[in-house]
Amino acid sequence: MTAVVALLPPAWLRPWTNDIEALATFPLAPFGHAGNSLASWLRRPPDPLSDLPPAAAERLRKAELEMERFARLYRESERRVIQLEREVAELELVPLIQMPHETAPLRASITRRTPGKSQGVVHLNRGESAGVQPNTVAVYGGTHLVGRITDVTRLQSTLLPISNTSTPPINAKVYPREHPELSPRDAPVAQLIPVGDGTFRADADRAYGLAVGDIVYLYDHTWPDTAQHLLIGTITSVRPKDNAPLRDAIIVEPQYQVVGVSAVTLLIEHSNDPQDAQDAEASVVLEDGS
Amino acid sequence: MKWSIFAVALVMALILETSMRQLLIFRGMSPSFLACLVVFVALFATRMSALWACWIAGMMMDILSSITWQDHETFVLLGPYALGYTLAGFMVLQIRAMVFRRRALTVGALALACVLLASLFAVGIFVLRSWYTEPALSAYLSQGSALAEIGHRLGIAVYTGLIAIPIGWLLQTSLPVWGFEMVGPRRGWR
Repeated sequence: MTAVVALLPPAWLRPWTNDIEALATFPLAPFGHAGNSLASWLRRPPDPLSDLPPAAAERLRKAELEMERFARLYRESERRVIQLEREVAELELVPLIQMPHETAPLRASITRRTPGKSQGVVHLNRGESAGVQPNTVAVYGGTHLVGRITDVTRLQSTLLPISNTSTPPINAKVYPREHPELSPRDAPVAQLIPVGDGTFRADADRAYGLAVGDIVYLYDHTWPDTAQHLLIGTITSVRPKDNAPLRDAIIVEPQYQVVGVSAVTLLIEHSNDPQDAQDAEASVVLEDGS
Repeated sequence: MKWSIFAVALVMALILETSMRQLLIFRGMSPSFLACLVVFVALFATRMSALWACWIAGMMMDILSSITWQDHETFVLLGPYALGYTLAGFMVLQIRAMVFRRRALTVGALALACVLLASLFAVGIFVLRSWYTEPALSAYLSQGSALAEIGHRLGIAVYTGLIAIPIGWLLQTSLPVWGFEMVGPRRGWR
């Protein structure tokens, strides 16, 4: 019977095996959370500021976050300018300029990992009750993209790392290490494909002159707005392709990965749509009972 | 065998599998604690108890290894590890009369064989499934192809075999609490 079940198509399995998984793993969640915390304590996640005195490291960390935030805001503004110019050129009416969505960071701890797969999905201790939705973006260190949410229950959610091979190819922009202020309009484009070992491979036109150390940011409209211009990683290898002399094969490696951390930050999106604000107020009134 | 002790040990092994395993990652490979437990039980429990224990452990491994494809579809595939570990347990049952069961080295060697056999069986099931139903083979594997996956899992098997030596020694010290029917006090030479 086990052999028969093992050969059934996913559509026949999903309705009941996912429930079995939830039942079987629910008791393990607290212990898994403790285990992951202990693992994190025994093997600290990478921290490039660890050699500095604590006060200086804290100031430097804040300054870096601030710099990354403003750089991201600048690139986001540039992207919107490009988008608006395109719309004007196509003679479309733009009734409202959409401001970037407000986001609220939410720390989520990893309670369970997929055994045997370093890039496998992980389960977090935040769910719908905390505002997590499918496609919610997860970051580490403020701006380092590590994955996005695929499944959500009331109390838990499933995070798919960006380096998982099930993640579709990711469109990205590459900024030279010496010129990180380059406009998104001028930055070369690359399509990153997860290799399966935590890195990404891509092909790029040799004319771009990509080099080791160049920084790669997400620039993919299939991802939520909250993910745009988040840092994916840096180029660690550039090699010419033998079968395509005008193209280079590049390898991109993230600085932080889900496998090396015990918690991530979820970017919970709050819409600036006035109708959504009215609905939120109405729900608050109902909860108050007044 | 006392099933309550097995349940506690199984839960501990699963917690180690899902949380502490990342501590021992080396070149993308990490050892399987569950395989160490499976081999230990198969060495000492009665035949039916050993096979049921292997099946339960494999089923839990299937439950924890959900498969994601198309970026958002997730499902749990029951069977590959349940059958794989049962097969591995059957292998241990066949040869346990020929090995020194109380040696930690035996646990290490058999854990290597157990992980390899279970992995070969699981990958075989994945390949078979990819021929006639979704998702494609890549959704099941962490490497690019079945051969690369088997090579990767061979590395995991070797790593597991090494880790199983100290774990096997630890489990051997807990033999009295397990209540195995086939295990008696050691008798010295007279």
